Amino acid sequence: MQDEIRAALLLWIPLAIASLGMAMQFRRQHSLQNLGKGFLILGGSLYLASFLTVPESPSAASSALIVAILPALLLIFVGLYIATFAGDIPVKRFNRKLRPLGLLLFISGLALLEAMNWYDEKWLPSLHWEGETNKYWLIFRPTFLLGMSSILFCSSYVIKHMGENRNDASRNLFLLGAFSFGFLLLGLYTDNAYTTTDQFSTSVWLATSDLFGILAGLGLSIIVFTLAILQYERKRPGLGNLPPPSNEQLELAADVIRKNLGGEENE
Amino acid sequence: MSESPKQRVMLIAGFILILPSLVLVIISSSSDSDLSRGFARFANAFLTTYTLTSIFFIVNMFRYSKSRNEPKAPWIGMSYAAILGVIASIALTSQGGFLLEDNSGSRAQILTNVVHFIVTALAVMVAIVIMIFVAFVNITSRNQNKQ
Repeated sequence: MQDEIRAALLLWIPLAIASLGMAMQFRRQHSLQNLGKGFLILGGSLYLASFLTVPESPSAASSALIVAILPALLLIFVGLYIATFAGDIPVKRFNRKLRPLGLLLFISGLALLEAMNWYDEKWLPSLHWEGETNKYWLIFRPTFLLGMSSILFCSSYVIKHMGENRNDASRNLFLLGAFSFGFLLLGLYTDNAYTTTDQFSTSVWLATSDLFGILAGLGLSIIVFTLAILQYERKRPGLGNLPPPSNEQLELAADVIRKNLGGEENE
Repeated sequence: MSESPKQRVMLIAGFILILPSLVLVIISSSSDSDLSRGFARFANAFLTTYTLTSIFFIVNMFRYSKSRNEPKAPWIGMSYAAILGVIASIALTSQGGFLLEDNSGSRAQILTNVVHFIVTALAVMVAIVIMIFVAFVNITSRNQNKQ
């Protein structure tokens, strides 16, 4: 019982606080957004530390995995950020010469993520949890590779057919997708440091089920949300049936127009 | 691009999106136990995603209701939809329920589903962010090379 209370206090409640913080980012008031950021950092940090604070909880393995892959993810995102903002865009933030460095960091991040799977070396972040392979790694890796290959193949096709002169971008997206799919196939036929081919085959099958389940669940909730709003909007009176605006509303409209037009009062 | 070829491109893009999954399902041999586990995983992922995103949409109704006269009907409708997801999850994962995976009870299964969702969503989000950035990097480098 005490373990459950500890898990609730140090894992589940922080996770709920982080989710609340994330939801607060969609509010208009800046004060609430800032408070939400605070919640997100506090809740997220406590959740990420849960593999140290409540190691007896089976769910703490997920935070151990996220912490283990964090260096690789940081390399990937920092690399892509530098490469993007060193390019020819209006909000250029980095020198053009830093672009190859960005790409190098991105490739190093992907290589680190794969090296962690293929080699169980001391200098690499460990994917073990309680003496076994972290079960969330068996969920993350196939989902990531499958998701990446699907999304990259799809975007490669869309960019080629929707934009003009986008052949290079389309080809590079396709190549990265092919690499990702190649690693999936390799896992199906070769044992690695953490999984056998049988385990990986089952993981891929479950990852496919997961992705389809997520797509279906997301689709249904969007449909329900749309219907809830549509039903209400349809019951509202049409523009022709609305009562004339009150003096207060006219004042408000005049104020908005005045602010947007600018200029002197007597013009 | 006119409307008809655009629709065709989107249709083919949708097919390409699921193509790697289809190929893997065909080439990886799946036993009967894998099939039943796969179905349980699909249903758990479906219910968890539906419930969590419905709750997320309820929170987002704040924004919508601010732009109207703070109506109650969409809130209540969306809340019912989320509650339905919670009830279905509890009913289908309680003892003997067919969505119970390697867990002892309904609460453990629901909590596992939430953590599972976080890890899966993280994997998908990372993949999407990589795609967006890689596309941008390529497009901006092309402009740079032209100059």
